[in-house]
Amino acid sequence: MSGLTEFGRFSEPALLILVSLAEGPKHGYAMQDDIAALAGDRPGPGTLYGAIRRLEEQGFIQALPERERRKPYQLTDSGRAALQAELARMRAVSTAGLRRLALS
Amino acid sequence: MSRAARLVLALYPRPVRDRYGPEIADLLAHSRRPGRDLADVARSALAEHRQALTYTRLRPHLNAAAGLVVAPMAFAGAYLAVYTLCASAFAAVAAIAGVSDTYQTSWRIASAAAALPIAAGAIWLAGHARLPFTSALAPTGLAVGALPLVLLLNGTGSWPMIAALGCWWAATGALSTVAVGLVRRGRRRRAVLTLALGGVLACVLAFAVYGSSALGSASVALGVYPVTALGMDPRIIGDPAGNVADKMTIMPALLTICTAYALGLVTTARRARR
Repeated sequence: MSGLTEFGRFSEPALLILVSLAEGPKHGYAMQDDIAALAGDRPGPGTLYGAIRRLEEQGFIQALPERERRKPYQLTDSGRAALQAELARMRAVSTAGLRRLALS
Repeated sequence: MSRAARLVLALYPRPVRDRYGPEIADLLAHSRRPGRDLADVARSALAEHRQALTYTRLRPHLNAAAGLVVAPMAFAGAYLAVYTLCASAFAAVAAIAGVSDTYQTSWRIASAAAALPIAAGAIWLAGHARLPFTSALAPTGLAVGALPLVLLLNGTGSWPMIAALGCWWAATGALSTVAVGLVRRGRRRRAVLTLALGGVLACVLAFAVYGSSALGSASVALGVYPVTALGMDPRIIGDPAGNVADKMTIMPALLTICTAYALGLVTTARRARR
């Protein structure tokens, strides 16, 4: 997997941010709402921006010019590729896990 | 912004706070669970500090510190090269003109003149540097780098020159701190002026310390730096042997160049966000 495993305890928020941005550019507040709807838990501002900082540093997302006094972020091509690879890996693990559970 | 929000944002390392602080503050201002979110921001801010201690994050700091330590040696090398060129040019001109009594004068003028292009180059070089820490720390790195040169290139005992270097470090460090503060408040010209004038005074003070301990004369001590920096005859400050400049070797030029470099670095400080 290209990069997300290096995020340690931020790996889940990082993944959720990438999934949220896969739909289109969003600012922090919109990401919080979207992640709350996706995962059932609203990330705190510190957790969210800790992950945003690392994703930006890795080049997976990039900031866009401010709109209505808020800065939106969007996925980069490498972020899209990393997300695709991670979701494919998760699907493989999930498929295998569910199959084994059904067999046991 | 609430006092509590300001307080937890202050826990972040400055680069992170400068970059993401307003966005985090915006989320805190619209938080539905302010207590939980404040705790989350405080925990994340402390985590940022912990992660800042990893080698990858420390590497730019280590590289910049190593650059500061190596800089005096590079300046000394460049100075000696330019000095050799200047001295050879003076000697050649004197030989062509058929003047035989110009050796000492040529030496003095060459040693003063050679420092100027290197000091100008140091300012230019510093203008392109981006230190990952405050420029106010630059004199510390430069003093550490200059110390081996002080011990190696010394016409008298080591202690007077070490005392001079310590004095230069304390004075330039204090000046840089003040100048960085001025730049951050948007007073760049005043900062440059403070460090330029203060830098000269710091050098005068440093060599006065050296002069009074090595030469034992207060009148010589105060004139030591101006005389050597301007390539004047040391006899005008009451140095009968006229060899005060010989004893200090390249140190006046080196500290002049280091002061210029510290000045250049201060100009790269960023203005604080309001």
